[in-house]
Amino acid sequence: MTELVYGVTWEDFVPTAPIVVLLAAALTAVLADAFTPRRKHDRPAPGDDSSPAAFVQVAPYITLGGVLAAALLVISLWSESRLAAQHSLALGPFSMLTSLVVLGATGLAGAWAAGYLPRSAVQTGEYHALLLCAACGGLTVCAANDLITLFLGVELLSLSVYALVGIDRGKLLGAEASMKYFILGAFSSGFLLYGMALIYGGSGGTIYLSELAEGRFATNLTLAGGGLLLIGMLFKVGAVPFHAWLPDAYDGAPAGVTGFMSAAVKAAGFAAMLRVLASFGRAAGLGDAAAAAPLATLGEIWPEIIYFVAALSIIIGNVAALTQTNPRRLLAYSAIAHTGYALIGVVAFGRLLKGMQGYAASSVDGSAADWIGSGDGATDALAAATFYLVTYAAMSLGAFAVLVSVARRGEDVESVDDLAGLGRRRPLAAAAMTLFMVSLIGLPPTAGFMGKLWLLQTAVDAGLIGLVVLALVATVVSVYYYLRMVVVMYMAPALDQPHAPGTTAPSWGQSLAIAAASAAVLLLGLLPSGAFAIAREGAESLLLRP
Amino acid sequence: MESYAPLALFAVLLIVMPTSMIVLSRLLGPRRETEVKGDPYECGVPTWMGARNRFSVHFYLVAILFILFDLETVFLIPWAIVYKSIGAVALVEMGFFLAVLGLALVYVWRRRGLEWE
Repeated sequence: MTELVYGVTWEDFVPTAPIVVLLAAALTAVLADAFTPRRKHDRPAPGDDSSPAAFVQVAPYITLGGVLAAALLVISLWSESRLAAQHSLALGPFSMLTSLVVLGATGLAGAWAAGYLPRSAVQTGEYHALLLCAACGGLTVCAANDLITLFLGVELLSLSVYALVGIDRGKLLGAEASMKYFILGAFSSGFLLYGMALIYGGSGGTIYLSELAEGRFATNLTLAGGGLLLIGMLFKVGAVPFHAWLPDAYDGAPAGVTGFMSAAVKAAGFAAMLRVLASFGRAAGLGDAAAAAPLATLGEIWPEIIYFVAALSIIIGNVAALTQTNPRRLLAYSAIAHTGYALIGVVAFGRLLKGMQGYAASSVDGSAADWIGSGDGATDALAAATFYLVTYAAMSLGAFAVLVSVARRGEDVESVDDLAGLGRRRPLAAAAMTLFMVSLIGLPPTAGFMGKLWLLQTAVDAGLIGLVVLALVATVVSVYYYLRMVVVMYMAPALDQPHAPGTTAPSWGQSLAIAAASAAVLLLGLLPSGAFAIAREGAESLLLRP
Repeated sequence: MESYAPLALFAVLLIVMPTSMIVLSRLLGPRRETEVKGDPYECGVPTWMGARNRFSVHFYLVAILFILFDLETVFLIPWAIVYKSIGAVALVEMGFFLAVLGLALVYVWRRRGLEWE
């Protein structure tokens, strides 16, 4: 390979292909919107932002095409475990799986826009372009190995989503939500950046997570930096006590955007958090014990912190969801609760890792393979958390796909009670919604059940009986608000109103989104072994990679 | 520890200087409250409107576009300085950056964002 400059070769650019393809699709969406001829009489006055009808028809195909191409590239280029692009990307099964979740969310959000956007005042070109830009950021976060790349990805994802939340410019609530999300998000980016700065300073100038893991850079500054980094990422995934932005942002955004956020932003945030925590864990386990002492301290502390974060998220998410009448707000609190469940896996990972650290310290030449061999439990916990994210993304996307498909005249469903009679008007959509609610509760034969089962199993292995009991009690509580939606759909008398939700036929994209999410929920529930295996390989690669 | 001595000195200065400035100006400065002093913005011209007026959203668009192309220049200057040592790759990379930025301009143009009516 010919060197271009400073050791960079063309080969370094190859692994970025999925991200570049998404960017190209985003630019295509923007330009196609601008250059689609408008008919004379609907030539817009300045300030009028409606997209030409011809473009509205093709826009979802641009997003779907871009996502499909990116997914194929991710599968072919990112599956092998290695560092790429001058060590700024860490590829492997973990990056692949989390990236596919982000791409799945983007694809569904692109598909259900067909027939949804034109009815609302949302700008079609900008919606698709921002969606694809957010996916670029999401993929970057999922694969980032150095802190700068990670930050770039987080910001690209967040900035696109801030704009998406307020994309329905006619809605005051959307603008307010967008503003709140932006200000709090910028604040949390400050934490993230300050943490990165401290790690950079404390480690004597490394920004590579894979190098940090060697432990020889551990100082007290890195410890403080790691803590700040953790706060930034807990904010992005919406864990209590950093959750205040989440209900307002989910509620104020159009349902189509909320669905994307609940899957893509959460998956990317968790991917970053798991990667950073795994690298700290590896640092404490593999490095020279004395040099790694501050990181080992971090390894001691963070499971205890996240223990409470997880417990609070589960309690507050479930209790607050009980009284919600707006389905988006209800699902927002449910998202907080599910963040809590997934964090149980993270706590279990941390606890089991502590056991491994003892092992590494006692063995004379604790090589990586021995270390991993001793820590099947920790790998399982990491894999369980990853798998839970995949299942949550599938069921949450499904629930939002149904909400999008029943939106009347571009008006989102604002009250659960408005869904009355949906069982008769749209039997398939109602059946799908029931499936997603059952999965969100965590009953077989759905994805939610398998996810929770594996998660709680590893939690028991880690001795987290308290959290397991809490999760089970919370699950029983959650039955009330999830099944209330089902009860209303099938049993409440239909309100006699001319524009009730679900009176219009769903578009092809919405049917596709509901069908895809249903298939994913059932498949992950009945035949989980394939995704299980990838999640486990991913966890191994996170812990083992040099 | 000795290496922290300048930092400590700096911290002391950081606290002493501003506090002394604030306290001294409060103690020594003459205070004459007049109507003009109460104005939110003084520039020598009599104020003639409330501060909370609405103005055209076009100003924001122009401001954003200005920042966009201003930042482009910010990136171009260091690029121009190291250009010779990097060579053709730098040209390609900057070309890519400018092309993406140019597309944004084309979009705004096509969507009639530059027309002032």
